[in-house]
Amino acid sequence: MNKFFFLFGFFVLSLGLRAGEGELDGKKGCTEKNGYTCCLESSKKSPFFISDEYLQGKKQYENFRDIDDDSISNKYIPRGTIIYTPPELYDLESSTDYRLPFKVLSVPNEKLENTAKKTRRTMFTEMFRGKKGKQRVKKDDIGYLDKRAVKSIDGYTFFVNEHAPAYRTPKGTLLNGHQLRPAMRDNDFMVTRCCQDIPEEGSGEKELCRDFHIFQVLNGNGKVIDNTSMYSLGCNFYQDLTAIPDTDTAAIGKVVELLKGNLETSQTYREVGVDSLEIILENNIRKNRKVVNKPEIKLVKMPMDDVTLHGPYNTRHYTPDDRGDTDAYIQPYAGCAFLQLAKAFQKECVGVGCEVQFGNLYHKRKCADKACQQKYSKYPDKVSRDVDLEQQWRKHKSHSGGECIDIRPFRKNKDDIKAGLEWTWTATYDRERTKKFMELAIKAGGTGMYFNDPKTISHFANRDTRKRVLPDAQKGAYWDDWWRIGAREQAGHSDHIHVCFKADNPRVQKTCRDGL
Amino acid sequence: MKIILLLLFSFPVLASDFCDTNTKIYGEASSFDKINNKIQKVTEKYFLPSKISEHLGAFENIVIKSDKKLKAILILGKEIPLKIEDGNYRTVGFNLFKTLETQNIIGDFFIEVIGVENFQCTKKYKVIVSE
Repeated sequence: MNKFFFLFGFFVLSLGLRAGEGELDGKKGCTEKNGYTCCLESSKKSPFFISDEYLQGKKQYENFRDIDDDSISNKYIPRGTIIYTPPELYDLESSTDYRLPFKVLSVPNEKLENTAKKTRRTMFTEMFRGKKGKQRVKKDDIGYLDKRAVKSIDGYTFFVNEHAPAYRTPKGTLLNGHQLRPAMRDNDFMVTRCCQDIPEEGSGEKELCRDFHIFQVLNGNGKVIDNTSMYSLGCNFYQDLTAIPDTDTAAIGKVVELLKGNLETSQTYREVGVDSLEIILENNIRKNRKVVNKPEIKLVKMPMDDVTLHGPYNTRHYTPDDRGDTDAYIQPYAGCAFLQLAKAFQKECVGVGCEVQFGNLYHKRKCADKACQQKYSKYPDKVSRDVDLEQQWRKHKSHSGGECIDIRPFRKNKDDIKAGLEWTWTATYDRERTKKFMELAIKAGGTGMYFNDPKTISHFANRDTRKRVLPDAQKGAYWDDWWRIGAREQAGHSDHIHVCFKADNPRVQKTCRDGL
Repeated sequence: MKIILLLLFSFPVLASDFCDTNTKIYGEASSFDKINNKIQKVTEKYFLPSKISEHLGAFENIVIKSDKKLKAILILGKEIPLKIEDGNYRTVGFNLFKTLETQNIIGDFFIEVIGVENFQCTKKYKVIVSE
């Protein structure tokens, strides 16, 4: 049977898909050739699935059970793994009705697990708590998974690895570095359904059909450039895919594009592709055991070399909290806007002293006093998502959302990462460069900005400067309202600029999308 | 309670001389840099600023340049011996940043330099933690 479908699949390459091409506006079209009829149809069935977790709390994995004995859980499957049930597993039954057999097609990178090994920060250790002694699943592994920990692929976009072997659509579009999204119609998957009448013993005929899900091919800007079926690309194709929740596709897509662009100038950071990113998925929120939130990325690690801490566009991380750099996580839009800002600043500032040195990005909220602890202890969900009850030295209230960044002032003559500077240190502090960076940060959508140099404060308080930097600034509680932008004084900000890139700020989104 | 203990602790220290320009306290900080295509750990000493924050550097060992003969430093109640290296006095295996972090120090703390011949001087530092 499988052989039949395999040959059938290749036939669809030349026939079936074409029935779908050009028909994505909703018209039903059929093509007939050599006894096959292929029509554009809808299907509720997901062609493959994304693994998640079921009632695992803050864990970033689910148990993957032995195919011969599902009471044995000796493997773990990270959230975001691409899985499916091949026909040879259809007849298998587990000891319970809520476990189904699956085969692994593609596993996300192991970066988050490696970070969790290098830190004692609770947020990270609890992501993989309980996996000791269990092996990570690999491509082609088969086993049982709780069906409630499995998600349909609608709501996800698949990024094709840049460095994978060249994959092309039947029209010849190169897929590497592009994205694939299932084509949907009225919440159903669009498929090319190909059928053939097969004579049965006796006098009757049996219609044998197979659905080929249609995927839209998107470029870095999210524009549809082609359609394809994944079936035509072969089984190995899946291992070069990374599933990204639709909510974050635009920001992550841009980050991937920026990483590629960085290769033109950077000698210190050379990683590219979605697979180079370290991603933390948002915890599921459940009501009556049912997940009520959409799949979403919680934080992504700022791309950087693990050892030298150099990042793209002349960025570098200073004084990491631990060996895992667990303070370098950021929300996708904020990270994207920050990289665009660093890219733009690189054009303005050339030479020694222009390195964009960033410190704290993400810290859970500090909840030191009893009143705060009592307040949040009533809301365990809230505590687990946003607030860490223990007080620690380097936990900052204003960095709990993963949208704010601390950046050292710029220097006249040195890019030394080991030591910082204050605005009062006139021998090293470069006011003009710092001012330029702050201007670009404001244009990029930066808000809640603090830096204590009185001259930059008066510079940004000046009406003419404001008009020049943001000609369309408004009064009132808008994103481009100067009260919200800040550029003001705040205790403890003589040695770093604090700035936030809020995901719901249209200017941040525009910066991410179009650059500066 | 912490403040009272700190005051009690620092009172006799404050009574002694503050370090003059002949006794300078430095902090060492490191980075991993690519030099000649090889990643190497580079450590340098920096004059320890009176206001310390994570943005100014993760200082580890303390280095002291002094014209006096020195024995140890006293920091947050702990005596750390000094060794002579390259003509300077240096702690070995100490990490100022981690010590401050572990003890959750916010605000003032003191480094007391202890010499061999009844010499001692104190320098006041302040840990700045921003939101």
